[in-house]
Amino acid sequence: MGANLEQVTTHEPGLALHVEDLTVTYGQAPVLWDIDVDVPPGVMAAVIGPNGAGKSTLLKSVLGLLRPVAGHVRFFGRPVKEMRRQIAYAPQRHSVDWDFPTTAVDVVEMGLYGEIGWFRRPGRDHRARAMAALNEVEMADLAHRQISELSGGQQQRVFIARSLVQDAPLMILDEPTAGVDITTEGIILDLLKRLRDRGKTLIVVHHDLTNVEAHFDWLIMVNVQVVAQGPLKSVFTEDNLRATYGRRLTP
Amino acid sequence: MTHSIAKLAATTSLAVGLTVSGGVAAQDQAPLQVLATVGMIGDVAQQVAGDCAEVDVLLGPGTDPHYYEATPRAVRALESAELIFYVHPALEERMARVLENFSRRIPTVSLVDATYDQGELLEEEPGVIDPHLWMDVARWSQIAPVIADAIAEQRPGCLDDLEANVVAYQAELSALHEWVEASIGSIPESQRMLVTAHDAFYYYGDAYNITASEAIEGISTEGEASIGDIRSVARFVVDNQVPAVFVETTINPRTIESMVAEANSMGHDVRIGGELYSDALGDADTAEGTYIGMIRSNTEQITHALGGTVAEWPSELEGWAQTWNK
Amino acid sequence: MSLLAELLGSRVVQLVVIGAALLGAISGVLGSFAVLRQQSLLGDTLSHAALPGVCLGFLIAGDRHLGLLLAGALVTGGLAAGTVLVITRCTRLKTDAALGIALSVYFAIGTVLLTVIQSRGDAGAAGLSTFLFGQAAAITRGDIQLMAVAGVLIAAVVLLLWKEFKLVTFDPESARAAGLPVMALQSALTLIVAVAVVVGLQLVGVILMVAMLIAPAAAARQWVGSLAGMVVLAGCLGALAGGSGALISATGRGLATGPVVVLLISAIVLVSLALAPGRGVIWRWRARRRLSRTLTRESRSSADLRRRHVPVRGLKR
Repeated sequence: MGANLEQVTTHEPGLALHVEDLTVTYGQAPVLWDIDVDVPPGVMAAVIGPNGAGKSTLLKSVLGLLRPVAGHVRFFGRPVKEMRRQIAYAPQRHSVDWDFPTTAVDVVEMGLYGEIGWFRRPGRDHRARAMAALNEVEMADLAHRQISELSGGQQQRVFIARSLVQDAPLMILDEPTAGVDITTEGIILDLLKRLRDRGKTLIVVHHDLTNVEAHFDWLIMVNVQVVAQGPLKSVFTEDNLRATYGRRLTP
Repeated sequence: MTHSIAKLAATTSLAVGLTVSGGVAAQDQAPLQVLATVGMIGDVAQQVAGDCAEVDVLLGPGTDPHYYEATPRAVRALESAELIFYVHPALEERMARVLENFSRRIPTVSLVDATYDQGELLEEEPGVIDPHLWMDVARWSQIAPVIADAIAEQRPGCLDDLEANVVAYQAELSALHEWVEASIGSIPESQRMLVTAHDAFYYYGDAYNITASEAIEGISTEGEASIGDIRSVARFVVDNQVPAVFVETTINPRTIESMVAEANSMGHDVRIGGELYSDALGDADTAEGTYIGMIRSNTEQITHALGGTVAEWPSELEGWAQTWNK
Repeated sequence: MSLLAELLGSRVVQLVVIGAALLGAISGVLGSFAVLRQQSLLGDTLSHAALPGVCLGFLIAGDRHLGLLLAGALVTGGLAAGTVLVITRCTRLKTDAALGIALSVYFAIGTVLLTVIQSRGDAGAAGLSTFLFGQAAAITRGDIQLMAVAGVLIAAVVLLLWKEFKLVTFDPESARAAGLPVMALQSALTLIVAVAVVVGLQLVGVILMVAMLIAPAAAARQWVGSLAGMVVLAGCLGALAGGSGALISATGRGLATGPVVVLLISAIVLVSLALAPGRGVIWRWRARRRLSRTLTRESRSSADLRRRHVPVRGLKR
């Protein structure tokens, strides 16, 4: 909420995300090698790269879900432990068993559990905020539907609503448009842009090169190492794409 | 020259002859290694064998023979035996296959099968015999000559001693049998009822005129005691106003305790009258670790708890009493 | 009816019915989390791992001191859970393989200890083997009190940590990202499942305990659409199966309680899988038939379908 943003702007805002020397391995194989990333606040950044390049790993490592071999991460100048409430995370859709007995609005409400704190129950205002978030992703009429009955696109929107409800200044989303139809993808990306216009910073792992230019303004190109990063206009070049994707440039 | 050779030959053959006969004599004198599964056999066998054999017992004081499965240690003990005794597959249920295997290499005797005819045995259900014969002293005494014969087959030199031991021991057991009869007989008929954890005392009841007996579990302790078992035995106890019931050393007392609580809640004050030796002897080197001691302890506890008077200890068993300070 | 009255008047029947109902309720509640975490066999591993603990407790205390035996069961149950964790983290094996390994190893150790105790010939060893299948009929008032205390503690923990358990079960990744101590919460859940297992050992034994954990939850899942509903219904179904199973087993001589209870709860699961609206096999079969009849009656063009507004709700699963 407003309180969060004030807290951040009191000190130097600095960079939304600052990563130094991040290295992550799986056994002996390097997944991310010597990564340096800087993301300024207020951008809608896309993380792109071939499959297995370490995009999801990058998100999970900076959030502390995976343990890196080396590296240094700061959000708005502070370590991740202090910034949990300022970061909203939406994992990949398949990381969850959607047969869980619960409704769409209930999942969105789960996004507020960190705020509610130990031993307290969600209240009516929490439910109202969850409904409002569902409204923003155009899912209000499906609020009480079992999540097992939702389509892939609807499930994706529920996850986005869940990260929305926290009203955090930084949102990190892992493939929010994977497996959805064009219309839904449009709805989602437009929503994200509106959030960016409201002052939020977004870091999104994105898989579709054909619409990156249309929606994102910042780019991080990853293939085990950072090939290039910066404002999309300057970074989205054929040379960089070739370096990132090797010979295979899938449209 | 031939004279020396002849002398050498004579000396050699004499030496060899002495060695062989000495070896034979030595072999004849080494105690036969006998292995018994349970102590009820083991003690009887040791009394019969005297110095002629060393009797080892496989199952210890607290071990339930219905459950016992042969461990590698047990198999080694079986392997080093020259003669094996067991009761009956209905008792040593899980050792049946192992014993059968050993019976091909080592003389193995099922004492129940070797001693009694089918008609003499009591059956729990048609086709299922009750193996707890040691509870009837007179019947159990019949295994002594069978044991003696089995030992004598491998130690013919012992035959005289064995026969004498059998006569002496059977005299003791005969006196014991009468003593039990007298003691149990002193219990008023209306109270002469035996309630135990499992059905091991059928022969005891049959031999010593127990009016009625009940048990929570059947002859075998396999399978858990059910609510129905406990209630039905409690019903029996209440209906017959049984003064006391008994737990057993090889069985968890909880089933009896639960039954006692049930009977108490039905309005009849019944208590636990003692701990009986049913499927095993007591600890080694105690009086109850002998067959006579087992029967004596059981009889004394039953007699006292059910309101009888223990008979005077027979003179034939004075020797035993002195050995054990009883 | 008079048979029922007669049964309920019996002290041992009362104790076993209460005990079995308590156990059913506790394992129904906790089993819901285990089933949703896809760790249904965790209960099986924990109960099989209880055997060495019971034997160790006996070897230490030297007698059938129940409190120590159960404490031992809890300790080895916890160790087994830890072993599963180590295996999944340090090797490439998945949870199901790790659970299977831990189950076999700990149960084997328990069997070895059991035979060691029995061959030592200790007079007190009798009855340790009843932990394998339980001996419900021999339950005491003290056992019931212990179960009630455990039940209250478990209920308190689940209520206090409700939303944390819910999130950790549904989406552990997001939970960690939100700053929740996921490892600690999952360990807490495992620990209370271990307590439930230990509490239930006397009634149904090591081998059948897993059914008490899985079946009520699996049945409840077919009928309700919320975690709270599932947990409550699972508890109720477990209690129902426990209580009535105990009653039924009291009607005849030689009817073991534990297996009857498990048969009853299994019947409840089968009925639920078949009949539940929306998810049940029969419901779905009939819905499919209704739909195909509707389709064959009219033309099958997609335009028609769109016009027709055919209800497809619920068929996604």
